[in-house]
Amino acid sequence: MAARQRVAEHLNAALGAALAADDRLYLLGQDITDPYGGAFKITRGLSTRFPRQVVATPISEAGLVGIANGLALAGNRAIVEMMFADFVTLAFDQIVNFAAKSVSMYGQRLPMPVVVRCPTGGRRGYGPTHSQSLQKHFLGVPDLDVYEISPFHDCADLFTGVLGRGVPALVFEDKVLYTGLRRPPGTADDLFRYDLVGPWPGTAVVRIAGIDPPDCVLITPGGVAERALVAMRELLISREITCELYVPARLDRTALEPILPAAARAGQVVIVEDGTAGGTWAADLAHQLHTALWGQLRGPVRVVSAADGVVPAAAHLEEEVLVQAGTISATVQRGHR
Amino acid sequence: MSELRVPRLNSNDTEYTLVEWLVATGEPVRPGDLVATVETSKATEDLACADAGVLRHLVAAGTECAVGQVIATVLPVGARVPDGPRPGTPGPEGEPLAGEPIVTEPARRVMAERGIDLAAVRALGRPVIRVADLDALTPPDPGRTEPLSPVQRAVAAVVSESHRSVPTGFVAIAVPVDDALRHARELSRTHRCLIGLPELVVAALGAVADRFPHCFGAYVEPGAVRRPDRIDVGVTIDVGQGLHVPVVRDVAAKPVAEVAKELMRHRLTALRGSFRPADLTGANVLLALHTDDDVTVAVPIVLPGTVCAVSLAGVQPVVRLDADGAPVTRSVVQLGVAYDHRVVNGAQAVELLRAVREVLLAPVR
Repeated sequence: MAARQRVAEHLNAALGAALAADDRLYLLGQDITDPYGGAFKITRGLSTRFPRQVVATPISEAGLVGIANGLALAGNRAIVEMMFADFVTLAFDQIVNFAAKSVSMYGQRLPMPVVVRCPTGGRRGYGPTHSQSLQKHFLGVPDLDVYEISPFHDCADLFTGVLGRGVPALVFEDKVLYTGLRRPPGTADDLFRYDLVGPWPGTAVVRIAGIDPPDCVLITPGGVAERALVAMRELLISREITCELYVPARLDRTALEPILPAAARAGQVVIVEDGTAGGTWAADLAHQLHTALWGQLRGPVRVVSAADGVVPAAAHLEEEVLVQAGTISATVQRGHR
Repeated sequence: MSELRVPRLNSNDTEYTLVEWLVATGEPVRPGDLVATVETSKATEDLACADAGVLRHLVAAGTECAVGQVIATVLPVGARVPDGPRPGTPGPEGEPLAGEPIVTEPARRVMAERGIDLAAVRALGRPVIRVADLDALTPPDPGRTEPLSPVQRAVAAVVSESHRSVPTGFVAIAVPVDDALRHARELSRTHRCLIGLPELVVAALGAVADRFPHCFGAYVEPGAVRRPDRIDVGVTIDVGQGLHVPVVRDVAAKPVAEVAKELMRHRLTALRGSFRPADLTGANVLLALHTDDDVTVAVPIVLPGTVCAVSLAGVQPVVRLDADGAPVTRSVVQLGVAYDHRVVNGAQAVELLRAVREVLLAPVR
């Protein structure tokens, strides 16, 4: 019996498979080569296996994304690793004004297979500048896709699909997920099952078979999914409140079709995200649900975001700012009638 | 016996993978022997056992183990290890063993309240047990109950005993009452007391009783009837304080005015709710009054220890043809009798009713 894979190992294998499948694919980033293998060890061993394709770069996010853009324009493909997602702001111009615009501004559609991987989120005590969730700043940019990995989605499939689309993309990776376990197909844990539904890259639907309609539909990106699972278990076992969890892998243009039927039937809909409120994925999705289900929803879609403050380094203070399983559970209980 | 627990090996992980067992289950171990390899997110580490004995695996290789989880026991030297996994131990991949449901806390509380054991819940075959799932194991809640009033409990006892012990028949006849009502009004004026059809019927029962001794007797096992010494008529009275059956004594010896005054005393007592037992015992016939004019016919309950229960229904207007063939309106009541069929048959019952009707149609004392 194969031991279950941690998400970091899974990502490492997915990147290895992508590099092996395409010798014009490059992997760029700071300190990603052996023996260090990257700050989170996601690229460990890859520079040894693919020394020409895996390139360590100087500490310049704008510079290394610029290299990736140049490689793409020259007919290659590139996956870039930000050491921390916080630093992606330094490459904002290269991503938004160069990579995304290059797809369409030269008179003919130009493939720009550039993927920027962003280790994101807090709960590690890394403080204000190494713990942010900046997904919202990249939403709504034409020809720029935004994805987030989850314990349910296959990252090899994700990278293959993103590179194949030829549209520049950010892939957010919650850094707490790295050491967590990937969920085997179909089984979220001893209580919940999951299915991948809807258009590529799929939305994971986590539920207990035979309970319909659920009291609550939860919608979260992959990084929040583990906390949502903890809350769902507690709500069911302590209070018999049943939840169905939807985890889309794509954050810009999140597919509504998989979510709408359950959201219309459920007693309440709660969207949870990391990061501060204001112009966010969750707010935009809530608006779309209100528009699509006007007159069918049992109440307003509610959004849970991080507190309006920087992420403290001290664990007990950080816990007050960031969304916890208890935050989700309490929100669902308040909305339960 | 000692336990082998997964120690905390770093600060990042809450569970580790048990990669392999270095010592097979059932094999002897000594203190310090390395028995298992676990893998954290950063490294692999071998776990040693502390005691000598025989190792018994509690989880399979490949399982994710939480920090602090017991993964093996060390049995005394020479012990035999039973085959198969220990019950209640999670299977590989974190899936529960088949048949071990997850029971919610509210469901656990209800199980305790209703005395449902885990085996019954397991038999439901559901992966998750909620309170609603337990309804299949218990009859639905009978709802709230509240005690009956003492008076109604007494009624319940009497009617239950009647239904249990007296096999009854029932018959009713129509009685034209225009003349009787006129007589009653005259009598009321003469005697300055309320006299109506009930008073006339009580008196009529007294007047005819000596011709129908069995109707006023009591059935005695095995196949005898006790004859009455005198005629005591129990009359149903319900003035809103519950149903009572006070007894008018020796009606054969009393003029109707006396009967009326005795009944009036009982009605007043019923209003005060202070009957003495002597007021309520010893009837050898029952008159059930259903004199609401909406009542067309009434089947009374035969009091245990009596044979007949007469019922008086409401006054109904009917259209009849007079001697010249012209339609006229008459007042009619249905006079019924339920009878203990062991003592009396239908023909005698009808004869009793006809006799009472004769008295009502004739001038009354």
